[in-house]
Amino acid sequence: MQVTVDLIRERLAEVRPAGLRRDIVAAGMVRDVRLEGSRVHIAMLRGPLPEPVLKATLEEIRKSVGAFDGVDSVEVEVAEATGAPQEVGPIPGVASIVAVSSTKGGVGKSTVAANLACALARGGAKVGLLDADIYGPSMPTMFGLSTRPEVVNGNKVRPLEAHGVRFVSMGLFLDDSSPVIWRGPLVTGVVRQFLKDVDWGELDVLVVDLPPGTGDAQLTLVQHVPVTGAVIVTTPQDVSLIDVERGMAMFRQVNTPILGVVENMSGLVCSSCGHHDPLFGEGGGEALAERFGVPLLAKIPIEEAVRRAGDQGTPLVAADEAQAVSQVYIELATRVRGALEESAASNPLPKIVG
Amino acid sequence: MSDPAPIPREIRRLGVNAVRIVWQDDHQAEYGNRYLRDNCPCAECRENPRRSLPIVGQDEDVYPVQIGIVGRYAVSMQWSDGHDSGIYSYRTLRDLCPCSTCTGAGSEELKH
Repeated sequence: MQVTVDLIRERLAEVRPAGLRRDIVAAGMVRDVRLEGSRVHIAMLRGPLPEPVLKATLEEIRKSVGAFDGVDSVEVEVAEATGAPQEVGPIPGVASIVAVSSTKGGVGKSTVAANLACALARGGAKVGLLDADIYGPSMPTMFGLSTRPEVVNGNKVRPLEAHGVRFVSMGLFLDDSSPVIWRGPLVTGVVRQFLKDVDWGELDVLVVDLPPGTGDAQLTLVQHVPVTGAVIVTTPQDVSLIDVERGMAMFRQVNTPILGVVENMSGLVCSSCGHHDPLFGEGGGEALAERFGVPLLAKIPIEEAVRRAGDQGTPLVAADEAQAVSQVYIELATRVRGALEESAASNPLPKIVG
Repeated sequence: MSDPAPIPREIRRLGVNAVRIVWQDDHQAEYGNRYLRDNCPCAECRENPRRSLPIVGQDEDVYPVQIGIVGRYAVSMQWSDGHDSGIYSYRTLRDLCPCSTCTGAGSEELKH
């Protein structure tokens, strides 16, 4: 009789390790069975089996599957049941993740995220940027790259690289003109894929540009990504603190530490005389930070140069480090780095053992 | 604003019988596997509840084959009966703690 995967599975269902009341298939320990010519490859989870029982079980599997006619070799790959990175768990190789969020659109969140990423890279960190703002992905414009990323090693997406930052954006996978209408579950699927299927390599910091708002999509996102800390971007006139309160509540709900607030569009610096005009009022960021007991990380003035640099495909920090605004971003990056380290040290992920 | 959710320091499977969680506030919780499985918080299980007593030792008929970390607020459990849609938030796990301090009059412990 010709050996098939189903036949092998049937035989595996007869394997019952000592001390277990069910067989290894029923217990969900068999993850994958592949048949390549005369070679059988079985992937299984160790489950709670102690070492001697595991050894005996593997022996039994090899013997009983090897007894099929036409099977020359049986290879069993055993994964430890715990501590293995899961699709929803930490990303291998990525040391810390900072989410850049805003409770409403139009506050310059993506500009802040892009410049922060560049400033972190200038400071010597290996930086990745995930543009999870699927409603209005803007990183391709800001980084001046819109080629579709290559797929490497069969199923991994290689991020694009510009200005020392590796980045991936939904914008790279869409036609320029297609409107983007997403619902929560779809958003989560896409972002999970971005985390799992992108070959980020070794990163010190992954900056995640979240979609604006505090709805379902955002909540699901932060639920599934083990974010080390969140930065909330706001503007001085954002005195409707209720919005921000919602954002804070969202992050608290999923145990994500808030690193602090960035006040963007913090006044206008006149390009001819250097006069600072508090267009949108003053003190919004301070009030907010004080009210919620989180630090005010930076106050970033409106500068035409920031906008121009972004539109031309080089975030200002990468284009002209000497600019006053660039210096503000570099200082912000230093603070974020410090806050991330502190957060990672004081909020370790639980160890799963046994 | 509600208290910050509790966070586990270590989650350990005790053979095929139980799971032990050591919380960051040093509280220790030991859950019989059957108890934990019966309290699976997924929608399907909540619709069709089955509740057992939280007794350790009679529980080897079901155990977590895999435990994964979900974001910063929960763990996922793949059970040996094949069920894997349960996501146990730390808050839920803490509330499920069957120890006498947590279940008895001394529910003070919960507030830490």
